[in-house]
Amino acid sequence: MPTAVTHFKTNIYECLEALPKPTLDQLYKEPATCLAIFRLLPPLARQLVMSLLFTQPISPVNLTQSDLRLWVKNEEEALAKFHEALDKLSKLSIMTTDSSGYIQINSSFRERFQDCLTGGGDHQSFGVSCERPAKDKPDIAFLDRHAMKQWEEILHFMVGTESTRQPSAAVLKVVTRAKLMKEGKDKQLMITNKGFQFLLQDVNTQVWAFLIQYLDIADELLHMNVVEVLNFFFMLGSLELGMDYSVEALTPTQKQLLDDLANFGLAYRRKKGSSRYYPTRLATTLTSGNSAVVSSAVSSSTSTTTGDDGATEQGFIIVETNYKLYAYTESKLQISVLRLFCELQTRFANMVYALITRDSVRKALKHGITANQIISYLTSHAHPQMKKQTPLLPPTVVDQIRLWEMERNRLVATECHLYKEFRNQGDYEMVLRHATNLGFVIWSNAKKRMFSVTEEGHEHVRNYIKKKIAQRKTNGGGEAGSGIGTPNNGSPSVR
Amino acid sequence: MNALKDTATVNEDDANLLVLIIDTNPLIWTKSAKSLSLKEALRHLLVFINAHLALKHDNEVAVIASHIGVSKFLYPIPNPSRLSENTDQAVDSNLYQRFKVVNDQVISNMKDLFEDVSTLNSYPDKASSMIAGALSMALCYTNRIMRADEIGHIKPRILIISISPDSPYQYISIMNCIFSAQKLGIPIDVCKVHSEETVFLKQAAHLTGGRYLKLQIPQGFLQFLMITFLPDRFTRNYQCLPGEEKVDFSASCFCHKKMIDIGFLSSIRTVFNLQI
Repeated sequence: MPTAVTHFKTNIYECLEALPKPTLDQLYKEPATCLAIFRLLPPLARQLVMSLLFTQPISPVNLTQSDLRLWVKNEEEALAKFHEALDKLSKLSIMTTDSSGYIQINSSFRERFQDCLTGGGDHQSFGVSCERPAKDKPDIAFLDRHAMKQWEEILHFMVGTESTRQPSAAVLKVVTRAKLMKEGKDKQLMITNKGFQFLLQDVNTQVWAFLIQYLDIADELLHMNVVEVLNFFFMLGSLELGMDYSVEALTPTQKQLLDDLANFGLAYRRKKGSSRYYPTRLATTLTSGNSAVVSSAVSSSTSTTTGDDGATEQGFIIVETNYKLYAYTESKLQISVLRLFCELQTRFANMVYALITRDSVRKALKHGITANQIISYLTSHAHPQMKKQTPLLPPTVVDQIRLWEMERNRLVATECHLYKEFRNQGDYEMVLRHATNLGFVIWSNAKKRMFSVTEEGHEHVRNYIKKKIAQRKTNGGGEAGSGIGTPNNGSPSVR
Repeated sequence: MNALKDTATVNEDDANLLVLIIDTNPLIWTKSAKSLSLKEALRHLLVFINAHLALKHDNEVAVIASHIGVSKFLYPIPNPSRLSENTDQAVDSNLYQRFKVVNDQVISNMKDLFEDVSTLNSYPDKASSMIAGALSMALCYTNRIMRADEIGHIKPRILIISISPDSPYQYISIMNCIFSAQKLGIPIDVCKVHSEETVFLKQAAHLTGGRYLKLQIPQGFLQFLMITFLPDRFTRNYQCLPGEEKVDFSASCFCHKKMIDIGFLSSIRTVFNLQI
């Protein structure tokens, strides 16, 4: 759903943005990568690229940023979108402004993307298929089953479901490195708060999050070339589901990658040394950025064939206005995810009945899960029946979950200094008035003759009191001024 | 015109369906082959289709040929069985699979259309093509797609690549198409490639909130398409697009099918001239 989608996009986008320009230039040598990155751009940026892409052959155009600005309407919203588009384009060094102020499209991007649209060149970036037809080709349902099985095995391992095999070394490295799991007391891997948050995401986001972590590892531990790895990810995204592709056309790095990705469930190989591989739906929908479509597509084919985890990806949750939640699932994985923020009541043969309560939601919030994550999880896993109504979730429930989150934010801790033990009310009021006028006072109590000031106000107020004491001493040294209370660091005060 | 300024209804994540109607009237294409032949134009159009598909993963396209005496779907066609031996098997590693399937089908169906000359000979009016028929097919198709899509995720639009002059005989049916497009909220864009302006299609673009553009530099066909007709309905809300604002609203009379400047309206909404 929308939030999840943007999450995925910014994620891979941020990862790309962080790459240095030479690496990006390297990346743009593959048309498939160009296409995938192009699709990550905001709509207006895509349009700008398309408008300028084929301008070169006719006449070399020199356009400045203000020329481009004329293409968008002179409205605030449009201009904001326009600047956002230019900003993203220049960050990915697709479109940059040169020293004389002219807009330049990255030449290798331009060339390769043109190739991509016209089908020119001989780059073989969209996967080389096998020449000989496969003997017994796995059908799409089989590939979906394989993908879900492999992927859920990882998730099951994270939740700690019994009877799961130990996943491969690569998986272990990724989950520990991403801090999705950490070693507990008895060297046993335990799921972390971050891991719980990860479980609430939709599959597409999970896969990307996983791959980005993998990319980190590939760079440092396995000494793989980032460009090659990313190219391979993007190429997988452009392949056709159910087709077989040749392993021989891959580089050695990519062959090594393929083994790991097959482990994650992104590709299928009959056996390890097999000369062909089949991308699964997890892989082919990588660059679509439309997770809702992905999961529904996966479910439509799996739910009919598998009984066990078939319903996991299909919407299965019904939430009622009275905070009752019915989940039509048998999957232990889904149930344990639900347990994060629901109180399970009854378990039936094909469904679970649970309650969303204040306590259960607060428990989830304590784990670092946000209200928005819960809501987006409920939205993206809503039962088809629920999807027909607008708004999808009952507003009372959504509002209440948000309120419960806000409840936790009632207390705000501020570093402060406490002033106390004033000799008389007059002194207290004088200092308090001075501090109030300057806006440093956080809390005050006239009865106890105490008040606290902010960190930055402390020095000022102290100097003021010292000055007053000094004044009184020179005025005849009668009464000693007010005593300065020991500043009490870090005491929280209620606003 | 502003009836379709749909900021509220169109979402950034919506998929776009582009229905492309290509006027394939062979007589006019051959006449104007010097500046831009059909073959060349088709090449530009295929890149344009690819660009449209590249914009978004779930963008869809449909291509309809408006020929003399017949309109035909070039893509998608119900049973592409005939094509299976050369498209499904051969995977071109240099071309995105989606592009390849669409391009191959459009080209091979276009070939079939031109090889079949029987309709061409039997049809009397050779000057114009079946724009009205093609438009109705396009509208029926979009209507079906919109109904199948329960969540209203698909936003259709129609682009007509027009070369033939107006045929007054088609006036009524074109007008009917325009009204149904208006009702469905589908903008009709028109790109006029050759010959004089078409009044009917200009009205179509105007009434449905689409764009009308006459191609000035035939070599730059693709660039014209990219700048004016590629933006989807979401980006259109933010862009200033080229196009013509001046519209000729003349109608054709129902009795003699002639273009008229002054018409007479009867109570049952028919337009007459007075040359009885």
